[in-house]
Amino acid sequence: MTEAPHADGLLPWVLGTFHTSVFGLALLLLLYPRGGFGATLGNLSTLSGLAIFLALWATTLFTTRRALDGLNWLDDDPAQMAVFFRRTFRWGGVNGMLFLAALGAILLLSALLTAPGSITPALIFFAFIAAVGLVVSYVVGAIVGVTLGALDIAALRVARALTRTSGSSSQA
Amino acid sequence: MAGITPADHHALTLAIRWLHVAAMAVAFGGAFLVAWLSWRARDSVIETAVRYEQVFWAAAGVLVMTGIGNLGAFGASLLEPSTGWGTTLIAKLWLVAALIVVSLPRSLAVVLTASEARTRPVDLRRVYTLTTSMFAAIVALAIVLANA
Repeated sequence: MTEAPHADGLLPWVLGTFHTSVFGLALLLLLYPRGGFGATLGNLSTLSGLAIFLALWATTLFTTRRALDGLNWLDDDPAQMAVFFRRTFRWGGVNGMLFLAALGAILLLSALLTAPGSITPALIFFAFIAAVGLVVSYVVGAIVGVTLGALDIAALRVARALTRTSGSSSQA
Repeated sequence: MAGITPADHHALTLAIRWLHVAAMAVAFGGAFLVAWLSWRARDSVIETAVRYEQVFWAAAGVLVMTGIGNLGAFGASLLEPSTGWGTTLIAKLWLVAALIVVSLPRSLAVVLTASEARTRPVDLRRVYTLTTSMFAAIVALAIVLANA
């Protein structure tokens, strides 16, 4: 078989973007059916919204790469999977904190550019989220990370079933 | 942000819509191409499939990002979920979520096929025909939303 170049290197990109997309879609599916979603989004400028999504995408790609670092994840070895699962908790939490910091920075920059007079309340908000929000965001990020890590492992099991040889099938 | 006029906002909205449609064209067209190639010459398609997976996930991220941006552009005039338009939008969002979820094992199976000589190659015909069919249904719902 001809080996496609960079197939293994694709893994953090695939998983990181999967996590970001699922998270974005889950938020949409939770918030839109409740009603009033247009007014909520209308309070956020389009550029700020794009910047926030790009920040989430970037931090998720970074933390997913770190969670997979040094693992032969595709082998689906139980010991490696246990390490991966622990890392999804830790790096999920870090992702939550990084995203919150990016969110704060984007909103602060937006406030600075659109209404320089409102910088004081923005700074107070930033100080508040820095002190309290980082702890909460670590916990939320860790829970989301573990949930998505479980989805990743389930997807890998399906993928291995789709590519199982007759020899490995008899061992299963 | 600072100094954005209504004309700038309109241009930005158009740019986001263009990006959304372009990303969909790339993802849908690419899936159709890989499906078509796999029905013609199954063994030599795996490299193309790996390349497609790289592009697919870029398009998926852009589609979710610009999709939220498109909804934000409506602002307070965004129709509520209780309307016919809203019901169609929810159906489209669920279908997109289903496509994203079934795409992860597809991508992993393609990576496994490309990187491990001992594995049985994934049935590219089946997985890419399914992907193309789901994209076709999503595009149909998008057209319904755009014409409503």
